[in-house]
Amino acid sequence: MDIKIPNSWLNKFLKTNATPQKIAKYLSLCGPSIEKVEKTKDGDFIYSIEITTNRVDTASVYGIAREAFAILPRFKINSKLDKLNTENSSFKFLNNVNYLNVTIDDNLCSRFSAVLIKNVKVKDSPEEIKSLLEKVGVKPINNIVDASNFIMHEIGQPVHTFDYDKIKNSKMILRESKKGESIITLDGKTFKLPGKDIVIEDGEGKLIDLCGIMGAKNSEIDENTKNCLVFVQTYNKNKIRQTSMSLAQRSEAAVLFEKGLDEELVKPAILSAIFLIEKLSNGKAEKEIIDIYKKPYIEKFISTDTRALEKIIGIGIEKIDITNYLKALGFEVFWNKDNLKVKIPSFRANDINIPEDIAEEIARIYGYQNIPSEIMSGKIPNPIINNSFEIENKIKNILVSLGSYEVYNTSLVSRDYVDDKAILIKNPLGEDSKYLRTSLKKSLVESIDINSQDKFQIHMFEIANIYIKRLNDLPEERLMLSGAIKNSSYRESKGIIQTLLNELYINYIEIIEDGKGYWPNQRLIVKSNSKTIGEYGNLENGLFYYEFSIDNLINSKKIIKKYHSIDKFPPQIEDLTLVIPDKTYIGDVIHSIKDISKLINNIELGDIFENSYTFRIWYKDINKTLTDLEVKKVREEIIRFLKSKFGIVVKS
Amino acid sequence: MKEDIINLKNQAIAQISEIDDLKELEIVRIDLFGRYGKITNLTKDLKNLSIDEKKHIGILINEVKTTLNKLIASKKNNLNNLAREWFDPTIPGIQSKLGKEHIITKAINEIEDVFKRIGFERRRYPEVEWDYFAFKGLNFPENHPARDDWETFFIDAPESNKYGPMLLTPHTSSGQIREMLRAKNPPIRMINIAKCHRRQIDVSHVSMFHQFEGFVVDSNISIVNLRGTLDYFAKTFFGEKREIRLRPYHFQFTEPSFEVDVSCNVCNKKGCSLCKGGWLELGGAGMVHPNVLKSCNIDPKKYSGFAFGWGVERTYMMKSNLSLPDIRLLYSSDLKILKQF
Repeated sequence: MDIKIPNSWLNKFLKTNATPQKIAKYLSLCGPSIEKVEKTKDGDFIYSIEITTNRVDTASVYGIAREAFAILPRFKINSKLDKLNTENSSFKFLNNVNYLNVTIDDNLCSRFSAVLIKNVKVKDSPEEIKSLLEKVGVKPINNIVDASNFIMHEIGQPVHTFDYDKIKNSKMILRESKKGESIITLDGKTFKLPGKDIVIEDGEGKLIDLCGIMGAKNSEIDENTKNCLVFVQTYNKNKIRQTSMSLAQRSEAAVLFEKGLDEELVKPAILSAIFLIEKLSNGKAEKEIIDIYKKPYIEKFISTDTRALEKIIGIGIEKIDITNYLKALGFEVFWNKDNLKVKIPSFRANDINIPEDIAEEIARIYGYQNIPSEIMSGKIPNPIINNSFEIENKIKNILVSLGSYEVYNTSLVSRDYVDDKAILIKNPLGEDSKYLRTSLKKSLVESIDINSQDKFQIHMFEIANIYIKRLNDLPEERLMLSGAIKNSSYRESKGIIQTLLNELYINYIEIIEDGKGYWPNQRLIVKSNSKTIGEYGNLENGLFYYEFSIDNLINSKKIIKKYHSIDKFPPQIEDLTLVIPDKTYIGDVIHSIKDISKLINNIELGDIFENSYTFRIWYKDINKTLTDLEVKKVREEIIRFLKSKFGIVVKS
Repeated sequence: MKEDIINLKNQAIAQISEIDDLKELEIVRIDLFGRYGKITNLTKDLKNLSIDEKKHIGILINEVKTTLNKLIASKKNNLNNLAREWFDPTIPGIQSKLGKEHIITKAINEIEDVFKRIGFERRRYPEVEWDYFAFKGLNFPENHPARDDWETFFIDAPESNKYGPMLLTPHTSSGQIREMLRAKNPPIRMINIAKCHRRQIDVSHVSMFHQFEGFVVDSNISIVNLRGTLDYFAKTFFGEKREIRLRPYHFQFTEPSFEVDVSCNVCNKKGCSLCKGGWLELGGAGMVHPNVLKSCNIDPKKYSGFAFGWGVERTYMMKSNLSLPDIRLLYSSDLKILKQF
């Protein structure tokens, strides 16, 4: 959470000659992070401070003053802290009073306090109060409401005020709401409650408070209020967050309560509130304060020793310094040789639980900037073999060098992107991101479509997980390579796939097999070790598409690269142009030619013109130079075979 | 013979001086000095002469040779400057059609590379996880806000009796638990880089992002080593003049916890409009919480560790100074954008 604190308000508790810039700098290094310092028109400075969730004790003027008091001396700046006044013998704290009849559930509210202030005069607050509230972003309303807001910002404990005369029968029942009960809050919004929210009903059964979040309109202070009830509580933090989030009613009070407040803060808060309201409104508080606090705070201690602290921090810190740092933060320290026992102040009780927490307090005040920096020595862990990062990068490099652009699409997609094996998000942000992808295809097609104005070849690929539902287990996360090509011939596109598979040394075969989304007869599946490793072909939407499973690529049969001595006897190379009948698979023709003689070393398809196909054929014998006659014999065999099998003739 | 030689010389001089073309000059040169050239032939004739004549004529032929060679050479130089063939070296090249790997891939590879050098192994762990690995084992209390429906995506699937609900990992830290359970015993030194999801979307957040998690467990690991490792990263990744600093922060799974800043390269720690008092926020880090070690049966009395988990996008943006107005642009497939990175 972010809070604002004016420097003039901070100075009420913190006496120091440090400039606001210095305070901001040093606090950020050792404590709460001060995001910025802004100068106001009246010469004040306002700190914007980020408060971490564990340090709600610093979410107030006093809390920040307390931190600064501990931190500034480390930078040789004197500072003094004026403590909150928590003792006032003229008031009695009792668990029942005659002016209010209270029933509470202490699972919802661990400390409940309230006091009646009679004969208040509701009017504007003095300028000084108004100005400070405006600086922290609170709109002044009237002296009573302003006083409660003032106390909340000053000491970090929300304070609420009711018009006492609007509480029927002076009776309050603090309970869980029932689903569907409704309440109008001070800001005029009507809420139908989700149920199990903390609420208070009065003697007539109407809800007068959405506890910890905002009071109800029906019991608010107005200009005619005579008697006011000051109300200071500690609520169950989880309940407050639940209600505040589900109603999207994020009041300042709720943001504080949901972090878990210190019950011990209730007393100084109500005393400060009484003092301020009496002063601003001429009212008079009852001397008996109702205070229901069934499980009072029990002092908490943590023990550790200098060796343990040094092990965490990495260097030893003098005992005297340890004592000084901790004391300034409000801890008490008891030494027995090198062992120390630390008494935790109540406002840190939720946060400090183990010796590591003590080490953190010492180290941050000592200053992380003063700790040396050194990479650990020690053994390097054993490597894991067979991870896929290497092949992923290899694939990316090959595809990029072949002109492809890599894209990253989102994993969360809408219903029409997935099949019935998809897993569903329980709390999606919207319909368009309800499922996890079961294929990369549709997002890739969309990636290409975004660039539809482009008339040149577009090739895009993605390597990402798809997620396949499994019964009673996490889904299978299958890493896929997919790509799509537009404005390119089938032969060029297929060439890219072949180059890729060859560069990966994969030993594979291809089989024609129709598939969803592809033109009939225009899809090939790629198999290696009789396992399907991928597919490619022409989609019905005109794109060329391919996809491979990375795992299957890794586990496929590999071509073992061996050194071959350079040919002693050069091959004879010749071009043969054949007239091929319609509906003949050129793939079959090439395979058949290869099988005719072992002297046929290689065959490649060159130009195609109408139904004339020019093949380049390499004839080779490793033991000798082939004579023209020998080549002629093989050629004649090829021609004879092609004629009988496919009806192919040589172009004359 | 002597006269023939002189005539030949004069003829050649006249011929050469009229030439204005390199090819012609070459023809004349071959006519004189080629295998069957006129001068070459003269040399061949020498053998028929008496010793005296041989000496006399030999000297003359050499003189003629030198003169004509010089003349041809100088003519050639002249012609070179005048009559060379036209060629335009300024014409644009035909560039090879390379594609581009995505900027996130580039960032991941650079990050992985830095940590590899100091012994970190890259790992990959599930993106769809059980609560236990993402939260409970990482010391998140039952009612922690990160575990509720407003911040984390949950999967519509039955809960596991052992591990709780199924979710999309909101951070790479779930890999800490996976890695400890896999390795069983320290030393552990891993870098886990993965897709993560958080329930938020605006100009500076996309619900999908990438995180990299450094995780070390061994005997005698302290804040000193965390600082050392992050310093090494900052200097290698951002530049040798850069420094890091740690500030107090809070995470459930580390104690102490830190916010890590890197010094601003624009103002060099003096403070400028691009940074906060000379520093830029990198992300979180901390010493592994003893409860986290315990949850994986590693004895916190014997071993300690540190961890840090930062956004890949954010970290790379800080390095590249791309100044993207909207982080969502990173996930656009528009070639006009992809080609820029």
